[in-house]
Formats: sequence, C-alpha cells, structure tokens
Amino acid sequence: MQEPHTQLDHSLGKPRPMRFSGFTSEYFGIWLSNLLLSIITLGIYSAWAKVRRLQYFYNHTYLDDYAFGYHAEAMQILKGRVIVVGTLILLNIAASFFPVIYTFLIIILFFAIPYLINLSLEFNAKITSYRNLRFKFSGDYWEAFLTFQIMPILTVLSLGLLAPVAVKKAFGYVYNNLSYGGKHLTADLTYTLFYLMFLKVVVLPILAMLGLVYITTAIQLNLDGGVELGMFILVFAVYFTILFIFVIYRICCLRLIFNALRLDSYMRFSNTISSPRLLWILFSNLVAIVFTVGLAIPWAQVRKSRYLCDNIQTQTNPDFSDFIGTAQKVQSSIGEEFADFEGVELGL
Amino acid sequence: MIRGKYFAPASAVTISAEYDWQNKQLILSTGAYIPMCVESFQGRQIFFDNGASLVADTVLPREFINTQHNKVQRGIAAMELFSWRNILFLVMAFVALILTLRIVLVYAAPITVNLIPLSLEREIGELGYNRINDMHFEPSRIELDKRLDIIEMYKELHRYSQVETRPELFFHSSETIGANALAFPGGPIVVTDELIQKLDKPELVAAVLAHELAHIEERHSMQQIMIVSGSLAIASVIFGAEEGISEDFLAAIVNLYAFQHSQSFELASDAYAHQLLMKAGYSPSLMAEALEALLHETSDKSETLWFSTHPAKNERLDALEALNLDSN
Repeated sequence: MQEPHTQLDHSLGKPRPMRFSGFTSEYFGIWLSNLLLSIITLGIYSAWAKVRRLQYFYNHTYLDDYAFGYHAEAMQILKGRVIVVGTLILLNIAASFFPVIYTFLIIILFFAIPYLINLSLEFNAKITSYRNLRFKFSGDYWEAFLTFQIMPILTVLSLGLLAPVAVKKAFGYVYNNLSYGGKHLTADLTYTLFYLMFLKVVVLPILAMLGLVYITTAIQLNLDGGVELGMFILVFAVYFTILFIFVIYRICCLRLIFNALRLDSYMRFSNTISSPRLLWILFSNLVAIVFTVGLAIPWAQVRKSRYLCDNIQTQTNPDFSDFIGTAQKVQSSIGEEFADFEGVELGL
Repeated sequence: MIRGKYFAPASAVTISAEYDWQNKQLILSTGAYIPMCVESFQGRQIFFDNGASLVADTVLPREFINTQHNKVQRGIAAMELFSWRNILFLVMAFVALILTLRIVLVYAAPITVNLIPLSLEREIGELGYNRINDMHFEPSRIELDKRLDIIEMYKELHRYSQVETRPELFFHSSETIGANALAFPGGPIVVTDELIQKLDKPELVAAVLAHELAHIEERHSMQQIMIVSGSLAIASVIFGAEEGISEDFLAAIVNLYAFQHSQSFELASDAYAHQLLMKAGYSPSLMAEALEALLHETSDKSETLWFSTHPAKNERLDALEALNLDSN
C-alpha cells in the first residue's frame, strides 16, 4: 500500500485537507423532514429529498475554500424513477408470464446497461459544479461494455484471478474519462498496486478464514453436543468475515484512488485515510443506526463525510484562469436512477 | 447586499463583488454595475440566469431566501430548521406515522389478500411444495390403514371449515423437518411421518390438521407476504438514504418484525382449530393435547422467542385453556 503523501508535487502549493462544514443538528432536521414528506407523499417527495440531501452534502464539502454545487432537478429524478420502476415491473411481469419475451428483454438489457452506465456517469458529472464550472464525463460505449459486462464474466471464469484487473479497469474508466473546465482528470493506477492489495486484503484473509473453518469443523465433528449451534455460529462468522473483507477492500480502493488522482498539472490528491479508523467509523455508525431505529443516520452520515474530507488532501495551483467551461444541456436522469435502483455504485 | 466572490459565465476565476438582490444588480470591486437575475441558490452559492455565480462570504440572509422561496418551500425550510421544539415535533410525527403504518398494514393485509385470486395463491403453494418436496421430503412409510383413517378425519374437518376446495393432504417422511405439519398457500397440507409417530392417536393428528386448515382458510401465508413486502417498502424509505446498510440487513430487521406477526397467526389458528374440532364433534381439548405432545421437549425460554415464528408453548396452551373454559 502506498504511504500518504508519497505523491507530493513540489511545483504545486502545500497540501491542504478538504473540509466538511455540515453539522448533525443542521442535517437532522433536513433528514427527518425528507423522511416524513417522503412517507406522506408515498415516495413522490423522495426525488426532492434526494436533491435536498445531496445539495446539503455537496454545499458543505470544501476544496480549497470553495464548496461543490449539486444541480439535479427533482422533477428530472422523479421522471427517471417512474421510467425505471415501470421497466422493472414490466420485466417482472414478463419473467412470470412470458418467459420468451423475458429472455429477449434480458439480452437487450445486457447490451443497454453500458449505455445506461455512461448516461449515469454523464449525468452525475454534469450536475456537479465547482467554482462555477460543471464536470464532464465522456464515455465510450464499447469501453463501458468491456469494463462493466465482459470483465465481470472473465473474473468469474478465471476464478477471481482477474478481479484486480476488472476493478482497476472500472475505476480507471470512471475517473480517467472525467474532465473539469476543459482539463482531464487522471488516476495513475497500476495493475501491480491492485494485485498487491488484492493479495493482502482479500486472498490472505480468505485463506486464513478457510483454514479456521477447516479446524473448527474438525473439532466440531469430534464433539457430540452442540454441533448445530457450532455450525450456526460458523456460518455467521464466515458471513461477517466476507462482509468485513468487502468493506476493507473498498476502503483500500478509496485510498489508492485518492493517492493517484490528479487534475492535469493543476491539482493533485493525496490522503491520510486510515483503514482501521474508517472501518471503526462505518461499523460504529451501523451499530448506532440499529440501536436508534435509524435516528442516528444523520449523525452517521455527517461523521463519515467529515472523516473523509479531513483526510483527503489537495495541492492546487492557485491560477484558475486556464479553466473554461461550456454551456450545459439538460440531460435525462434515467441512467442515474437505474444505477440507483440496481445498486450499481460507481464511486464518483 | 450580499458580499462575496463573483464568477463570470463559464469561468472559474474569482472577482470580489457585492450583489444588491433588492435591485437585482451586481457591483464588481472595479465599480462596474451589472444587472443580474437569480436563477437558483444553494448553500452559500447564488446562480444567475446568465451562467454567472456568486459565492457569499457568509451565510445567505434569511430575507433574501424568503423572497426566492414560494409558500411551500418556506414551509419546508421552517420544518427543516433546527430547534428542540421542531425536532421533538418531527420525531413524534415520525413515530406516530410508523405506528399508524404498522396498524394500517396489519389491518389492510386481510383485505388486500382478498384481491388476490385463489388460483394464483394455489399456484404459489404448489410451486413452494414442489421445491421443498425435491429437497426435504421422502415417501411416507406409515401404514396405509392409519393414513386412510387420518384422511377420513381430515375430510370430515374440511366439511365443517369454510375452505371451498379441499386442499390435498400429503404424507411424507422428512429427517430435516422432523415432527411437523405444513400448510402451503392455498394448499397442499403436508404431515410428516415423524409427527404421526409422535402423536399416537390419529385424533391428535386431526387436531393439527385443523390448525393447518385455519392457516389456509385465513390465507395467513399471503397475509404474511403482504406484511413483509409492505414493511420492506417502508423500511427502504427510512433506511434507503444510508448506503452503509445492506439489503440483507434490512431484510433481517423486517423478518424479525414479521416473526412477531407470525406468532399472532399461530394463536389465531389454534383458536380456530379448537372451534373446528368442536363443530366436527371431536373433543376441543385435542388441540392442547397435540401441542403438549409435540412441544414437551422444547424449552420455554423467552429470550429465543424474538427469533421464532411460533409463540412459546405455555402461551399457546394458556390461550387454549382459556378457550376451553369459555366453551364449557
């Protein structure tokens, strides 16, 4: 793993942390109002709630004295959602009653997904502003097809050996195709880094887990009583270990990216995110949320954002005169809503 | 007047400026005046309709915000504002809403279930039976005579029930399921050899069948499906914003709640079986006897009950005893 600050660029200014200026008390009211209005309006308000929530977080995330802006229209989101829900209902009906049509639709969907992912990435970039300029994403259909449809299949066929290649490709696709003010963002990611991380965070822990499972099962079989309870605990332990590995893996990816990301020669990211610390924050957040029946969600979200912002640093060139924006067109949010529903996380 | 940093359209370069929002004029630090209309604002940023923007040095003044908001937006903004009174009100409204939804869901389930055609329910039941049959059921090894006795009693019980078409009754041996009887949505009913062996009298098996008939008549499985999917929908609205919570986890919480509800279905079926046995001319105490025989090995620890679809043995026996006293 790279150590923080190994990526310092001495031609740029001193590294400064990003800053999150939101407060739990402030966000609590917004969150609870969003929730109440969403329930009362049978979910219709949730589109407005999404805008309200993301605006709060964008507006309080500071990079070099300026906050981000979020510009999605709630009506756009609502339309996108209606179309996505309608499609999913139709798919379900087709699955139950017209299997032939369903197979046909699934094939169409397989080829449509890269297009929808591109749409989603373009949408997310376009609605994000910083210093009065919007971000831009220019994807390529076949590259997206290879990254999001073919690579996962190859990963399974290679029994996971190609997983780091797939993950690196996905992150590379998302970040390297982004631009701001006419300059490209780049993430200098290498296969070696991803393979090393995969070995350290995924392969070794899984081998250790399998070893433990083998030993405990052997002991269990030698004992007469309590076999069922033992198996029950074992299944739980395996489930949690996998969840744990998954979360750590994501944290490590985040660290890799925020050490490799730069905006042309104007901005360079680095980070001091500590995996155990972030893991603790995520875990304690979950416990707090469960024990307060959800009431701790605003606190948990603010706490996570604050930790991340405090530990991501940027070195910037103070001259922003080279950055020039273009006029913005309104764009459909179908891709974004589809990604939301299908749980696709693109980590933008 | 709002003081801040001005960005010209399509530019990231800042110029100090002030915005006179009452007169819709921007005054640059160079002294130039530019007329400008607000398109939107968020946080401390104001966006103008020509693509320019201004980042205010301090929080935007309330008067400015009020002129930009319509009545509804003002109402929502007032609701969102942090004050202990507001929070108390919102939390109470939230709790009241959840409780109402919970009650509505429980009362709406039997009504909405009536909208689902019985044929569909039977199809679901058959599908479920076929799946479990492949995995857990073996052919029955109980003597034919005994099975025929039970079938006769079952037919008799069915005649006194409100279930229109008689659900099929299957006998299976099953090591994994053990002594148990299952009612699939709309039928069939399955009794395991292990249950028949444990209950030495066929009348006791009939009592269990009466209980299973109740599940089918009241369409408990469908109600359960309604309640689980309804609760899942509500839970996903509440927890949906937090990406850290996985769907598995949400489903686990909802299942816990559904288990509680399933316990009330069991009690209702016990009571129904008690009635049905009486109507068919059997001793109503058979239900309690069958339960006693089936559950005598199970402990009655209340701490495991949270995770159980069935109520505690004692609770079920007490409820049946109360019914017995009533009918006497």
